[in-house]
Amino acid sequence: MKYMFLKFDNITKILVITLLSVGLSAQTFAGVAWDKVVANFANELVNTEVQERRVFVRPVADLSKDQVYLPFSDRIGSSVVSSLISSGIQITNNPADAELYLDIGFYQTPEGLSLHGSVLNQDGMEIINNSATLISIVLPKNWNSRSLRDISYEIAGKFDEQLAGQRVNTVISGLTGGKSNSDEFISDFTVAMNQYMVEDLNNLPSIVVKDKSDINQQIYRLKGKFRVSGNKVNLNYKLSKSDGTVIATASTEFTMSASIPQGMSMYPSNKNIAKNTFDNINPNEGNISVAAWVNHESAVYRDGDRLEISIRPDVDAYIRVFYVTVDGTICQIKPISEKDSGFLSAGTIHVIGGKADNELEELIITDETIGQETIKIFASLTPIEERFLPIKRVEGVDYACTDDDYKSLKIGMAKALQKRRNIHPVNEIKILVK
Amino acid sequence: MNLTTSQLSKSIILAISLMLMAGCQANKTTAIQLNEATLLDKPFPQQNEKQFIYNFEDHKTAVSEDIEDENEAVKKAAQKAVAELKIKALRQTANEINSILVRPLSGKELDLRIKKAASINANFIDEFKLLEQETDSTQMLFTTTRPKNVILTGYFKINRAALKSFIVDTVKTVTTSVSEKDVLSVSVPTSTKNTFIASFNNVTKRVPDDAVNHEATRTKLVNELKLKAINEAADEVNHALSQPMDFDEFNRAIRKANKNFSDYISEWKLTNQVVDQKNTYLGTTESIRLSGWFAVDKTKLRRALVDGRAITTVAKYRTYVEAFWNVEDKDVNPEVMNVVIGNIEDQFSQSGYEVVEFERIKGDLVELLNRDEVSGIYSSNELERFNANLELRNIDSKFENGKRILAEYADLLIGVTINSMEVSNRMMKVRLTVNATLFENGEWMKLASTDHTGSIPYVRGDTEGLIAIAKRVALSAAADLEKKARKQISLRKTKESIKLNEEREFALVFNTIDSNSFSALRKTVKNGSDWVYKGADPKNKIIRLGYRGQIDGLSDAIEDFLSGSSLKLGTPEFSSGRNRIIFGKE
Repeated sequence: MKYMFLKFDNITKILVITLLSVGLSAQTFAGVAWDKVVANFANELVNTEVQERRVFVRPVADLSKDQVYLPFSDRIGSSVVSSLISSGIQITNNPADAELYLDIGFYQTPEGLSLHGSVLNQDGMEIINNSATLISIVLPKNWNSRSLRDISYEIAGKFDEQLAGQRVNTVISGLTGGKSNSDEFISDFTVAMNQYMVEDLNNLPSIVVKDKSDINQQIYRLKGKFRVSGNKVNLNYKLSKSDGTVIATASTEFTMSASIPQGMSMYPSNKNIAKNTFDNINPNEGNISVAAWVNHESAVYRDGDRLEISIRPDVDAYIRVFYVTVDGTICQIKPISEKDSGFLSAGTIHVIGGKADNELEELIITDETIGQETIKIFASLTPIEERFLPIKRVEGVDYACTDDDYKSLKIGMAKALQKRRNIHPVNEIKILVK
Repeated sequence: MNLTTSQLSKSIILAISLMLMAGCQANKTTAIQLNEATLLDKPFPQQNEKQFIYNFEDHKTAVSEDIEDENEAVKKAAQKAVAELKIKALRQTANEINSILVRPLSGKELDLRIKKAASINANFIDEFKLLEQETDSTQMLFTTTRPKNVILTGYFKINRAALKSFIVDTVKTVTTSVSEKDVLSVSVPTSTKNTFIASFNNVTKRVPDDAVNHEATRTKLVNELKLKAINEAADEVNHALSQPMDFDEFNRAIRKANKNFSDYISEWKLTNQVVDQKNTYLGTTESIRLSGWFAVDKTKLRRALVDGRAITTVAKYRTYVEAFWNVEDKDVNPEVMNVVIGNIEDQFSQSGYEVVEFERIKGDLVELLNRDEVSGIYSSNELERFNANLELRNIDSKFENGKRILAEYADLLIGVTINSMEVSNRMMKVRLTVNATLFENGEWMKLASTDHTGSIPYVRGDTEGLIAIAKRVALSAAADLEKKARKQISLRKTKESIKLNEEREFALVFNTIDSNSFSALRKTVKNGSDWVYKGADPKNKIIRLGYRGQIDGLSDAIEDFLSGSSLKLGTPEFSSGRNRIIFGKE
């Protein structure tokens, strides 16, 4: 294109060269220009009145209602601090030691970043304010991008702000979702997010991530839902008490193309089959609560992995545990024997597939089929009569299975409990076989 | 002819004059011819900077008749006159000098100095001149009578500087052995919460004339300053505690503290020590002049004063802190709660109150409850254990007769409620309410209450900031409450002394009895002699009585009075801050 222009007259040549120069200058300039703007902005805020006093610089935050965490805001913060130190301002890292607080926030605008700063006294009253704009051209490349880890950091921070001052014992129930509200898919994406969330929450004093086997009654549950809409993903987390009361929520939105790494799937490979097993969980169905967990905290299993399912009812109850495989086959894994009523005493932990499980030798995962599998737990205060369930015992196999779908199982369960209404599991565990 | 006549006339006049003088006393009058120029040329010198001029004119002094020799008598009178005039001259000069001094001498001291100045042979008088010296002898015809007075006119020129230097001692300063370090280190530290700094600047003490050296005087002065420092610190401790005190005990405790000064004076330093030499007409005097400071440990001194019963008032208030978590939708934060309780207890302890620690009475409280009610305090779960302890600490709400139980352990109850702890506008805010209730005359009386809020920037994951702001708010609230409570306590003391001597009306509430029983009870109570029956409200089963004394006294008297009755009235309970006794709980 440059050569084409060279064929034109001299005026055009000059114009082209000028345009190219401007373009090159802007690129070169962009790397340093933003922090100069930030330095000027900070130094204008901190006038002579401030200079004699110790200043605490708060982390730079999104001032919009979305409160998005941009990693680039940390660079702005560092730039502010170093420019103030260069100007001789006393900076303290401890807000309790500070005489003044420097509060800088931003709004994302179509032009770039709009910065707003205030100097506050110890009572939180604004003394001075200032604003500046960082236009996109001076900002570094990808200034507004954020990874899944950044998104997890943002969500954890939002919980910390709401829970600040308390310490909440929490069990991470995990993230599920899909395109519709009822979708409860797990995938590489949810596994990664679960891992990041555990790490980020464990770094906060307000939340203590507990193992699912924790018997503490005062335990909270953190559950996440994602919803995909085009290229956008909406994430919503809720922290609830054991009685279901929501005490804190946090949400955010991101674009898949910008934040989801290449090759990471949003859905399991058996998406369509897994969809048929989605059900509402009623943690207190029949006034019974049953805690359940598996031996892999990540809920990811690979070929040859041993699966152990632990269940603990809070009252004496009759329990039926079904395993829904990748291809939709449903097998009853507790109880095994026809003679066994499935009765479990309150508070006792029964491990299915565990070494002490006399009934079932072991549950070993194979990679013949991969995708999302589900363990469904039904419970009743009265015996659940097996004859009503659509399961058949196969010779040579430890457990009874059904070729019918999950809906048939639920109908059978309602009959077995002599209920006309829909019966829901008291708990379920989703695992991802890879 | 004319000449002869005139001479004759003169003779005649003289003869007549002599004749008249011989027969009677004649006044000697002489016609004078005044010269205006002479009059303008004043015979007295003018005042000037160096000399004070004292003029005297026709100063009469009686000539003694006891001295036979007239000349000798006149001479003595003249000497006496000059001596008197000299003192007058010196006095007038000294008065003028004294009036312009920075530190004028007292009248008595000045008078002594003037007399001394007049008596010594000092060179205060530059010039003394008699312009006229006469006697008032009477001229008879042939003789002159013995003079009765010596009449003098003249002036004194007094040397102002000489007299001033005599009146005001000149001072010569001699610097003694002080290390350069000490001299340079003149900065005095400032008092802190726990340390009182008593500083002294140029305090002097005269070295006795018979002293061999000035060391003993210096030691004595240091000891005096040390005692003064302890005294000042004790005053401040007492002021901070705002206690009425026993002065004898207070002084005794201070003397004791002074003996064991090393326990209380943590540090001291003389920043300047000099010997002033004063050269006066009385001789040379020496004074020790010291500047410096003493650091007194207020905490130790306070303990000594309280132990020594010099200060007793608030110390007698056994103070107990109850704490409540009232933050909506948030579980209790043990760290914040502990910081708040700890700092409020410290604040009251620092102010001299005897703080009853929960841990000290916890065992007693546990014994009052059955095992199920206190199982939480033995829980392995930290939070559960904390909550159970917090619940137990709050005696009033934990126990049915909480207020009575509380009164066994405390006189002053401090209630702390954490109302909110939240992030708002990116600021971490903590709000708490504290109130003080005093147990007095068998009742819990509300004294004071205050509400405090503090904020600090919210920083993700930061608990130090929260703890810091909780501490700050707790301390400010406790300080404010303590001030208000103290004021109320002092006011109540006066009120109470009046109140106890007056009849007060009390309401007795009988919840558990039926109407017939209430009617019978009313008749019985009406006949009681320890109180005055005021009326009854049968609908609400209330009997009103007038009673002189404390509510617990009335409660006991009623119980004793009705002990023979078949009615089951239940345990009497007092309602906080009200003259009301409720019967009805078994």
